[in-house]
Amino acid sequence: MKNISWMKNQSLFIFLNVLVLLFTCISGNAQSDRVMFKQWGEFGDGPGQLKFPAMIAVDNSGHIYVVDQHNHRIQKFDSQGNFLLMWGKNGDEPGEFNYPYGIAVDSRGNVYVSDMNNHRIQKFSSGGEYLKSTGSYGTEDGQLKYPYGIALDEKDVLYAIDAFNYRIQKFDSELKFLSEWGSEEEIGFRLYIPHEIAIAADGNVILSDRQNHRISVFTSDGALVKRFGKYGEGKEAGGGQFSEPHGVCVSKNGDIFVCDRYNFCIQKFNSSGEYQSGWKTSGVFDDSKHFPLGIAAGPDGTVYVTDNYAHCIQVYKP
Amino acid sequence: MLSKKNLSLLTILILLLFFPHHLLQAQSKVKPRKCILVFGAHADDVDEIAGGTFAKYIDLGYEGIYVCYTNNTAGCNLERTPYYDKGPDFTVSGATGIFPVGALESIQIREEEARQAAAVYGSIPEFLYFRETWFWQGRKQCPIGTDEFHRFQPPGRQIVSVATRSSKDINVVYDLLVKYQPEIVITHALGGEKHDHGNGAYLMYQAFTKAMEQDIPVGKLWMDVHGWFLQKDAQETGRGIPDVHIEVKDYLPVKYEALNKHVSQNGGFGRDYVMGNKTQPKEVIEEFITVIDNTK
Repeated sequence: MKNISWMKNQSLFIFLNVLVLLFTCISGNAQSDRVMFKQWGEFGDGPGQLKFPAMIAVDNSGHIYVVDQHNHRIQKFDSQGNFLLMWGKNGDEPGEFNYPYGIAVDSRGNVYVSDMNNHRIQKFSSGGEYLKSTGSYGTEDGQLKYPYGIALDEKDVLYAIDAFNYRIQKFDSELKFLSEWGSEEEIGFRLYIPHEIAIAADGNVILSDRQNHRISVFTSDGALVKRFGKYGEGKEAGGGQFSEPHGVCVSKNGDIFVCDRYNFCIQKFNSSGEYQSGWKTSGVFDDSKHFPLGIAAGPDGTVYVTDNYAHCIQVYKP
Repeated sequence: MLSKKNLSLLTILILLLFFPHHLLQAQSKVKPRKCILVFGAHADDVDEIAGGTFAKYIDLGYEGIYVCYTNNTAGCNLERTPYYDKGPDFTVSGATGIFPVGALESIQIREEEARQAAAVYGSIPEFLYFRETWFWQGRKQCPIGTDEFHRFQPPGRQIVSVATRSSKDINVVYDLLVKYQPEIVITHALGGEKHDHGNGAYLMYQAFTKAMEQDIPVGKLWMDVHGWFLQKDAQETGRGIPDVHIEVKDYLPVKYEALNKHVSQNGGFGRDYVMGNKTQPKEVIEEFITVIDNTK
């Protein structure tokens, strides 16, 4: 009996090893330290349904805010993915949106949204009440041409990618213009515009330089610190190689997470930009069904990813 | 009994009622404004079909209106830019594929380039956002009729061919004519070389004739020498023979400077791109066919 039990245990051991090996093969070079915890959302315009979700943010209480881009609204969920509330509709009045893009939450729980095709940034309370906005189409200080990603530092200074002015603009929490930096040559180049932005633990600004397939790090005043990553696509692509990196976020412990959208994976780097690990999101290379785009890290280290084509949110636990 | 005063008022009212208003209109027919409006399908079409003429008339004191009537979702391939494989280390890091940007970005990029091109002429840009029949979703092309197209619903109005059947959409172009009352309108050829070029020309034709019916002061409608005008019948009857010849030699630098602004389409190569594309530009003389002359 003992022998049979031992043999059973051995078989189980071998079976588990084969499973691990298979998983490693399937996930290519990405050494995963994450597993998908849950997923929610589907195509539609009802509460909890999404149409092409863009960026995502998490507040200090773990509430999740999603830019529901083609519904021109923001949706709020609890940390379990339960729908809480939503606001906004297509338009250019206060509280309305025209293809919103980026989102960030400040230390008080206020929500900032880059209202991309209205060339402005709007501020809301955590309950979705409109508070104020800034910006109009133009090149002057405080004006914007298609704001993409936005992020807040620990002092609630807002950084916005002013895409077609090829610059980063800084605003205080009352949306008053503070300063700007950047040029075509510095933050991308001509049409190669950075799309997403995150603030590192040391205050540096991290930009996903999507069409150049790399991440750029600047000081808060715009001095280039470093760039990392190079082009690599497909199952052969290794850690630190990107194919159009898009969403980027920083966790509480300083790790940097990047949505590598045409490798259909998330890559994790330490605060120095050294590759740590990664994992596939959809598990398949299919750019007609999956498209990891936005990413945010919760206070407990949970990572949330928007799948732009599958119209859903994916949750990954450490 | 009517008082003398009331009788006078009644007489005036009767006179006003039977007054031949058409005479009044004929006498007060307003001339078109000194304005040239070029109605192009895509962000670079104004420059390609009439860039030299546009520059010349603006130099002569005309107001220039630079119209792009589609939403430009159908193509913005950054690999065409000179930065793709010729630049220093800020360019794509060795990528070998073709990377079109998505529909929303394509609209933004080409609109920004069109604004820059319009500024070269010192003209006013106008965007009408009629939909194209396909768009890019990431690297995937999604034609109209597909589930992707239906779900994404690219921003914009009807596609141009459908718009030609709708008074609401024709009125979008008509309103433009009411706003600017141009002496000269230039657009693509009827039955033009591309689906949205030919249909856009018909859309303008309908709006222009409606403007005439409504006594809006519009002048001449010229079309590019393409499409049906090159067919045998049109050539034999003389209908396809250009009757407008504009000498633009001195304005070619302006035309090509404007073309250079469309980096996402021609890589910023302007004339070289047009020549390389086997579209032989009319270097010195730009020619058109008068389809309507409302000035006579």
